[in-house]
Amino acid sequence: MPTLLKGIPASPGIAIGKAAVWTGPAPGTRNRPFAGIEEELARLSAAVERSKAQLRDIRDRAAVRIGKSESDLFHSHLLMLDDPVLMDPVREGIRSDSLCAEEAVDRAVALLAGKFEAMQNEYLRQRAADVREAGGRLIRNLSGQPSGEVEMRGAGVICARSLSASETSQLDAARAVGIVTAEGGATSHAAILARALGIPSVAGVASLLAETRDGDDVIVDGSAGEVLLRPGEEALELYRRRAAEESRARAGRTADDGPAITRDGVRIEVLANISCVAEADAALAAGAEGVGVLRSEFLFFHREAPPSGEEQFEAYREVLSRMAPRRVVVRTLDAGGDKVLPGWQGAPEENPELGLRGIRLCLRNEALFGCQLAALMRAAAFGNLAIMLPMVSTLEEVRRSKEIIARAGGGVRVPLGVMIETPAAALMAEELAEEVDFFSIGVNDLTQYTLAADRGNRQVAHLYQPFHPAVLRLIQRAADAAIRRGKRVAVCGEMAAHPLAAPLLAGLGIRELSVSVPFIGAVKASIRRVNLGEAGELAEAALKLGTAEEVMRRLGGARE
Amino acid sequence: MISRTVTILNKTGLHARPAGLFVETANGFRSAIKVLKGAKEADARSLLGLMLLEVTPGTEIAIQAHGDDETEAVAALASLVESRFGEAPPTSDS
Repeated sequence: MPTLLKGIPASPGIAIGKAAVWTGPAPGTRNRPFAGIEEELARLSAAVERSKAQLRDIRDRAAVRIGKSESDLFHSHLLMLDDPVLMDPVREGIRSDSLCAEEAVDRAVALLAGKFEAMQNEYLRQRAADVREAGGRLIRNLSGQPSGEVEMRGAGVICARSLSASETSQLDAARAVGIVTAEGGATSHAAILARALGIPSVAGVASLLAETRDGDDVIVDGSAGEVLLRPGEEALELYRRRAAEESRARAGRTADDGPAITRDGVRIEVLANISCVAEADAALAAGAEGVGVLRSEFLFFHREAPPSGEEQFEAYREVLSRMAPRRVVVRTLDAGGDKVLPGWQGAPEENPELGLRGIRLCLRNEALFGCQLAALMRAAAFGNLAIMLPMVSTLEEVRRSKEIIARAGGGVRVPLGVMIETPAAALMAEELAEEVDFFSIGVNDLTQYTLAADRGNRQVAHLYQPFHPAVLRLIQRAADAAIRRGKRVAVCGEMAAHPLAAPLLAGLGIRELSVSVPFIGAVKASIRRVNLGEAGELAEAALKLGTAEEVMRRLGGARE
Repeated sequence: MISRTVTILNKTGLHARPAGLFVETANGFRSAIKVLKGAKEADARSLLGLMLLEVTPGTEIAIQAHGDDETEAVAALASLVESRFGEAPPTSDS
């Protein structure tokens, strides 16, 4: 029976294929008859060599495709397979207890992982998972099971609970036609890589694994965030046509390099939101006129300590010089909430979304913040840099930040902006505009905080409405404050990429939109259909409506 | 045999990256090298062993080497620790 599942759009486009349900690598056999000490030791060293070769391959791919922190992770797995603390007990199990190599590895891994789990330090406790992952690989190589990555390279629509760093780094665009995950969101590893590779993807489909059988026909609509399981012939035919149209459209336009100009001649800039150095190239290829949000967190996660100033400098310089002379807005570290900063020993929070996150965390950890700002200021010479502060809710936060920036900058001046993503910031936009050079309205968080609804919570997700008049009125207020002072104002967040948003936002006076790389072409195209005079009237009417549904209907009607 | 006591000053203690640098440095010498923290000890060439010592910032460790290049080995490892493994200093006044 056909089933429609809804999730979060993670990478746009339509994919049609057979479900390849991925439940993690097969565990591998543990029990086999003992073949004698020499034989088991020889099997062990052969499996160690195979595992190391695989890890070197993964490490090198990760270094190119994702970044240094990812490749360091695999490098540490590699070191473990030569480490006497793990390997001596394995050999001992073979020699003294006549265990087959698989069982000897299994026991040594369980013992060692248990020791890590018993440790005080949170970071070290988590290393138990690394020991298990490295050990699991060794056992699979001993028992002749595929290494995991080999299966990941299988064809079809990958359906998984979530994808680990090593699995994601192995995805192959030629064979994985689509990706659907039960967990994760638009910024998880898998989503970022799917966008970089142009694989349609939907995340956060909670009931995915309960509903999907291996080999089912699946349609993934990555733009709508929908997954259609076991569609009938009719639906398949419809989506095949749509997919063909899409790919013809893609082939027809190489990069959409031209400016996006409304029918009445006003230019609206389209910039890219990116999360790693490699995405800068994808942004350029897609016709981005700059980077509207570089999420600097990518440098800070999946590692045990914050990056040094030097490492940050290198990464910023790389993005700035690749994008030059285009503008690059770097959002300073936006950690906290569910994005726990490595090495940060914060008190547990009952309500992390309203807790120590974004600029609040940076101001609490001035050394870390100063180090990032100093690296940015050094990199400023290599391109067109602007700095943006996330999660601002008070003027004091901006003023404190400006002092720290002045100290870190050594005389260098770069434009400074704030994210408008709390209702307080939108309501205080007049005063904030006096302090900074530009605004970027972050509609995702602004919606969450205005409607007090977590879209990850299924019971209230229906209240998360970016087109709600309450959100639109805050956007208008912030935009007006900036425009009156001649300051730049951009909108970022998923709403900016929504097909109905361009006329509305243009009508509110927005002249910059920043969206995920794959949406750039579509957003430019919808801007070119806008008539600014009509858009202004449309926006004015929308602001007076009472519900999000009325707004959507009004916008949809205007498009017909 | 040579032994020297040093205090761990970097932000995270002997976590994976600093421990990895420690192992790589130790691998450059021929001497047998041990790291002692209180009653626990680890082979300086074992990443897992070093992490299991649970060395946090501010902890003292002893680096002990025995072999024909023991003096150089202890000096190199001690200076790695004292340089905070190349991490940024913990204050923002730099």
